[in-house]
Parts: sequence; structure tokens; C-alpha cells
Amino acid sequence: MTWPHPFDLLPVLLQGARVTLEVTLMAAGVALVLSFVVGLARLAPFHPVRFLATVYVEILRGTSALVQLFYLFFILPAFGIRLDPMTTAVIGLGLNLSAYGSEIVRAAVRHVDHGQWEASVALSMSPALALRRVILPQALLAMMPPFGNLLIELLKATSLVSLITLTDLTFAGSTMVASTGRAAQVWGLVLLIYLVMALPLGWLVRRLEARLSVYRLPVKT
Amino acid sequence: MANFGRRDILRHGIGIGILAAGAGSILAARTRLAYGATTFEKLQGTKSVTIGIANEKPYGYVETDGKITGAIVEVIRAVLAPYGITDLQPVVTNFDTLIPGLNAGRFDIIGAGMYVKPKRCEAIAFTNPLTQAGGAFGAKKGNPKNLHSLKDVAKDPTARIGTQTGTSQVDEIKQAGINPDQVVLFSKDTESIAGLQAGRVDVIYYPDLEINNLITTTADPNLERVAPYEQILDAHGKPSLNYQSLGLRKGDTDLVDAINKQLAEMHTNGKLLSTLAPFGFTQNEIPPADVTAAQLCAG
Repeated sequence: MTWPHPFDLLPVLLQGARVTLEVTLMAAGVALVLSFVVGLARLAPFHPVRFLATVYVEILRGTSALVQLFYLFFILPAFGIRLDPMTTAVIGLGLNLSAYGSEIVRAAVRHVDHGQWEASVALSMSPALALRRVILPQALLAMMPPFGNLLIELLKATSLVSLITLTDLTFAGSTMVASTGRAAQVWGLVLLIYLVMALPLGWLVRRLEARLSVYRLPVKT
Repeated sequence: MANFGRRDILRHGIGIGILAAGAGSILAARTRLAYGATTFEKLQGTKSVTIGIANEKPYGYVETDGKITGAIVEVIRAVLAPYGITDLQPVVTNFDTLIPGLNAGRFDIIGAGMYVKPKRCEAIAFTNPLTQAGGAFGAKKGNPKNLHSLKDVAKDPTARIGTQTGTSQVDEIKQAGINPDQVVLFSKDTESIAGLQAGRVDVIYYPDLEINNLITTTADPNLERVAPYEQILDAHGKPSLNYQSLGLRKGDTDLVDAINKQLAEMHTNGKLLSTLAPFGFTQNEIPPADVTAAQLCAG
């Protein structure tokens, strides 16, 4: 069955959209875990740990994600490390995003009133228990809006992966322009598909925020 | 076998030892084979080859239905079939990452219609040429700035010329003495066309057949291929043409030789032209049979 213009372009574009979504979700998983590890490491009481975490953030945040992907994909094989395109994309974007995410974690944890730590100590909680039961639940709430931003940023940053031979939504679009020449129609549809993918992601983060808001402290009077 | 004496254990032990040593040496031999095999031998073993393309018409591109074809791709199909290599796996990437991708082992052959240029010969090996091509301009209908050669662009400081990063057109533009401020580099040929339509450049500069395809595919009545167009001249005052070959890794000399052998045959029996003809190539685009990669690499 052939669809009328411009919908005949959809099958190829949707295949690309699937790759985009897969990379986004998997890289978001990697980034989330690393954000917490690195973000908390930057608050660690040991200087060498803080130093390493700071170096990690500054290097990954201070260099171009595109060049990082290029390096992982085209240069690493020379050192005997050959990752397939999907793995490279997930690791590359996950590492890059975690540098930003860790700052969100650090800021949100620091933002929780210091009195909360003192109260936990007074209740003879260990620092780990205090972090888990008292501090993080409040910090998580503050992390949600910036994490939502980051997730949608990631969705769009996945267009970089065409460099490493993955046919994501943007690249599928450029493929269709090359074979049909209908640039306006192709890019119009691509814009719409990105929007349709971004809206539920935003909604999901807002839902999480609502769930977490039970940890919000009553406003001080 | 219920109770082993010491001697049995010893005997079994030796047996296991011999077995282990045997397995070990077989494994080692296999590894040697895997590492020792050339790319050509590996391709013949798997009957499959991975080719890097830039998704450009008419060289190598993806059809709306997801199939891979193109002039260069079809020649690859024809030269490798006699060796039993019939499965073509495409990797689509940007033109400027084709050489790094080849050298990183992401694919085995560049099938994108790459020109043989001395600078590229330092990084990769080329087969003998498949096609020859001149340059061409695409412009808005009527060619408002009246540009018919790279020299014209160099003379008119208000003219802007567009082409693609990583291509040899960039070097030719530079050698023609065009001010870098006049040059706009796009990352794909379709983006160059979009730039031309949007008035960001006055002409775009590509190989002649690529210009034909771009203008046909875009189907915009306001665009045209510039005619007449004056080619760059070589040291002898003759139009200097470019030659497109398949790019391979430097170490794969046996594969280069095998492909050259088939190419020579396709030259003689006319199959080269008949393979390329459906993509708009004519006898004019078939290089003389005595032009070799070695000559072209020497510059």
C-alpha cells in the first residue's frame, strides 16, 4: 500500500525515530546512574575523590560531544577497543550528559537545609542512612525540573549519532531528502516527530515530580 | 572404573594433558588463521562485504524503500561477484568520515565515488579508476551572477560559492584563488542545494553527474546546471578531469589487485559502461583503460 504525500515518507522516518528513542532512553539510563555516582562523589568528604569527580565533569562538559563520539568510534579501534555503533552512542552520550546531570545532583543535595543533616545526626543516623532517608527524597524533588530539561536535550542531541553510522531520525530525514528532494515535507515531518516524542517525556518527568512532592516540607512561616 | 589406582589417574592425567595441549594448539592455529587472513580472504569466507557510502546520487544511496544502489555500488557488486562475494552490507555515513571509518575497520570498501587524490593516497589505497568526471555549477535559473568557471567566481568578490566539506572540490576552489570569505561549506550535497534555493550561495560546485542528479531530484524549476561551463585546465592547457575509484585499506593489496583484474576485464568487454549507464554515465565518463591509481596518486 502506498500512502499519499507526504505520509509515504513516514516508514523510513519512523525507523529513524525508533533508533532516536532507543538511544535516548538507554543513554538516559547510563547518564542517570553516573550523575548520582559523580554528583555524590563531588560531595564526598575525601579530597582525592572530589578531585577526580571534578576532573571528570570538567573534561566531559568542556569538550564537544561530537568530537567525543568521533573519538570513541573512529580512534578507539586503533587501540583495540571496538564498540558497535549503538553501544558507542549510548556510552558516549551517557557519559557526556552525566557531566551535566552530576551538577544537578550536587546542587540539589547541597540545597537541602544543613539543619536536616544535623537533625539526622542527633537521631544517631549514619551519614548513608541520613542521605537515603532524609536528604535524597527532598533533593530528588528539586532535581526533577532540570532532569526533565536534560532528558529532552538528550533526545535532540541524539542527532549527533549519524556521525557514527547510526540512522537516527535526523539522518533518516537527510536520507529521504537525498532520494526524494522533498526537503520541506521531510523536515516538517521530522520536526513533528521530535515534538511528539518530547511531549510524553516532559509529561513523564512532571508526573514523577508530582509523586515526589509528598516529600516537600511545609513552607516556613 | 569405580576405583582408580594411582596409575589410572596418571594415565588419565596424561590423556587429559594431551587433549588440552591439542585443543590449545588447535585454538592457537585458529586464532593465527583469523589474524593471518587478509581482508580479501575473510570476505571470500563470509561471502559478504561492508561498504561505506555517503548517500549521494548517483554513486551510492538508499532508495525510498530502503534498498541500496548507485553507480559505484553496482560496480562493486560486479567486480566482487566472480569471487563469490555477493552480499553487500551498506554503512551510510558522512562523506568526510569515510576515510576514518575505513581505517577504523567500520567497513572494507569506500563506495562513494571518491576522487583519487595524492593527499588521500597517503591515508588509503585506491583501485584503478571506475569513472572520470569534470566539475559543474548549479545555479538559480538564468545564472544571475553570470558565473561559468571557478575563475569567474574568483573575479567577482560578491559571488558566493558552495560545496561540501572533505571533498576535493574544496581544494580546487582554493587553488583557483577564490577568497575563503566567498566559500560556504555544507556537510551534504542536498544541503548545498537547499543553500542555493535559499540564496545563501550563488553557485554550488560538484562533479557534473552529481549536479545533474541533484537538480533532477530536487525538481525545482528555478534551478539549472550552468552551461557553458569551463573546466579547470591542467599544466598543458587541457581540461583537468578527476577520477573516481574504490577506496581500500592500505594493507589490502590482494583485494586491490583482485578488483583491478576484474575492472580491466569490464573495461574490455564493455560491462563497465553498461553497469554505469543506468545512472546517467556515458562513454565520456569512462576513463581510458591505461589510467592507473599509481599515476593518479603520484599527482
